[in-house]
Amino acid sequence: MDTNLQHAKHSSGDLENGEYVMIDKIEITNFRCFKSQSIGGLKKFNVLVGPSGSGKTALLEALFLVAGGSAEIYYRLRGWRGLGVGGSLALALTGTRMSYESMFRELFFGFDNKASARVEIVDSKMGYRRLSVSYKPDAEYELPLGEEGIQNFVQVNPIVFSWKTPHMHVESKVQSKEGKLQFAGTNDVYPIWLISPSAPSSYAQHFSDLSKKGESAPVVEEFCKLFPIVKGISLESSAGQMALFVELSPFKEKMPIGMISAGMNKYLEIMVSIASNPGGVVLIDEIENGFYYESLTMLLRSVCRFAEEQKVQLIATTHSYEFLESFASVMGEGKEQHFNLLRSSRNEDGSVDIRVSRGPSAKSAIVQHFEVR
Amino acid sequence: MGNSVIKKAFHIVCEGRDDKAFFTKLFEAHGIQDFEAECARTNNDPKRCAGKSGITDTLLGLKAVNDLNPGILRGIIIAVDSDEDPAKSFESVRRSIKETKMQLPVPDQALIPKLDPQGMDPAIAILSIPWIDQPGHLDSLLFDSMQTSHADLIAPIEDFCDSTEHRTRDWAQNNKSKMKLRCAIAASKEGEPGLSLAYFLESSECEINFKDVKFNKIVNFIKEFSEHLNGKTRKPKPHPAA
Repeated sequence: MDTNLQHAKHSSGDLENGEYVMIDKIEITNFRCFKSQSIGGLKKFNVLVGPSGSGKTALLEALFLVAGGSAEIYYRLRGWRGLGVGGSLALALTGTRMSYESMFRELFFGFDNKASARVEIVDSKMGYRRLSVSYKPDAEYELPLGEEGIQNFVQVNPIVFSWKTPHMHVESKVQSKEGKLQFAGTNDVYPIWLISPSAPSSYAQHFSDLSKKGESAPVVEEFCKLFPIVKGISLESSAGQMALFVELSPFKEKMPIGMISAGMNKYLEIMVSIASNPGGVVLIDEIENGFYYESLTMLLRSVCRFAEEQKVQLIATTHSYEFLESFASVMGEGKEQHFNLLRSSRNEDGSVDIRVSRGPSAKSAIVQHFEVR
Repeated sequence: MGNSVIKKAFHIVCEGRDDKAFFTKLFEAHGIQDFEAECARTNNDPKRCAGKSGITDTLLGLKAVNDLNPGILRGIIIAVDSDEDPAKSFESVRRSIKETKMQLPVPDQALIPKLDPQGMDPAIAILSIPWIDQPGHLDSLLFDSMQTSHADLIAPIEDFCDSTEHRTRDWAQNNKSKMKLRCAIAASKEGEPGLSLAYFLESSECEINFKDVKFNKIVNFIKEFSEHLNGKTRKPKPHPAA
C-alpha cells in the first residue's frame, strides 16, 4: 500500500501537450485550525513559512486528504501525528459514542462537529475537487469494537468522507470487518505526494517501480551530477528489506544511501517523488531538514529544474531563512513569476490565516533580509 | 546580517545612512514613536545603502512584509534629496513606485497619500529634502540649520569656500553645500575632524539642534502623514506644488 502517495496521474496527453496542470486555489472551511481560508493564485513553486503550530503541516495534510478517495487516509494522517494504534487500523475504543467521536473531534475547527469540514482545490484542468466530512445525524450505525471475536457494538451517527468533482461523487464510511476498520472509497484520486518527517518513506518501492518501467535514469543522472562521488544507484535487498544502495567512489562495495547522508537521502526522495508523479503535486514538509546549508542552492536548483521538466507543482514548508535565501536565489534565475511565499499565523480565536506574497515582492523581502517568517 | 523586523506602523525609506541617522535623531527630538527609518537597498547588493536606485526593490520587500503580516505597516514615506532639480527627483521616485505597482500618492506631487481601497498596500508619500520646491539635499538643510548652532563657523567657512572659487566655480550648488558641511563638521570635532556625516549624526555629542525651526516642515509632514492615516485629521495640508 502506498503510504504517502495519492497515485493517480493526469493523462499523459497533458504532459505531452506541454500543459502544466496546477492547483490554483485552495478553500478550507471548519477543518482543523482553519475556520475559513481561501488561498488563490498558487504557482509552480510555493513555500509556506510561519511559527510552530500555525497550521503549515495541517495545510499540507488538508491537500493530502482532498486528493484521496477513502477515509482511510485520515487514519493514516492520525498515525503520522502519533495517534495511530501501532500501525494497525484496529480501534481501542471504550464502547461509547463519545469515544468514537473523539477520534474525529480534532478534524473540525474548534472541535465543532455540527458543521461539516470542507477542503476544496481548484486546478487549471479538472476544475474543483471537494472533500466534505460530516456526521450523518439521521443515520445510525452499529460500530463493532474491541478485539477480534468479541462482540461489542456502539450506536453512532456515522462520519462520512465525501469527495466530489465535476465528474464523480463518492462517499466513504467507516466499516468494521474481523476486528479491523475498513473504508470504502474510490480509486479516482488526485496525484499528490506528501513528504513529511513523520510519514514513513516508501520511495525505495517507487524507485523500483520507476526502474522497472525504465524511467529511473533521469533521477539517477541528476543525482550523480549533483554528487559526483556517486557512480550509481540500485535497489538491493538488505536483511530481507529492499533499500536503495549507491556505488560510492572509490569503494567497490555498495552502501545503503541512508547510511551516507540524510541530505542525499532526502534529495533522492524528492526526486523520486517528482519522477513518480509527473503532472502532479509534491508536498514537502520541513524541506530544509537534512540539507547542508552550502548545498541548498545547488540542490534546490536541481529540484526546481526537475519539477519543471516533469510539470510537477511544489508546495513546501520551512522554518529556515537559509533555505528561503537559496530559494530566492534560484527563483531569481528567471522563475520569479512562478513563485509564491505564503505565511501562516494564528488569530486570537485560534484560527489560522495564510497570506500570500507573490514572487518579485517575496524575493525582494528575502534578499533584503526583511523578517518574513 | 540579521533580519529587519518591521515593528512600527510607519516607515521612512531614505537614500543613505546619513539620512537614516538624521531621521532617527529627528524622531527622538520630536517624540515621534511610530516611525522607523531605513535606507533603500537593491537586491543585487543588499548590504549597501543604494540611494534612489534601491527604492523599487525596498518597496517590493516592504510590500511582501505587508502582504504576509497585514496591519503592522500602515504607511511609507520615501524621503529623497531634491538635488539640483526637485521635480526631476520627485518624478524619479514616482517611476520607482510605479514599477512596484503600489499606490502612487495623489494627486500628483502632493503630500496626501492614496489609501489603498482594498487595504492591501501601505499608503505611500514622497518627502523631498529640503522641500519639494527647493533644490538641495540633507547636507544643505543641515548646513542651513548650523547657521544657528555653529554660527561662529559660518562666516569663515563661507570665506574659505569663496577662496577656492578657482577650483569650485563650476561645481553644482549641492556639491558646494556638501563641502561647507564637511568643513563645519571638521572644525567642530577636534578629536576626529574626518568624521563622516553619518557618524556625526549618530554621535551622542552631535551638536545639531534637531528642534531647529529649519526642520519644522519635515517634522510636520511626518506628523500629518501618520495623523492622516490614523484618522486624527480629516485631510493633510496640500503640498505647495500640488
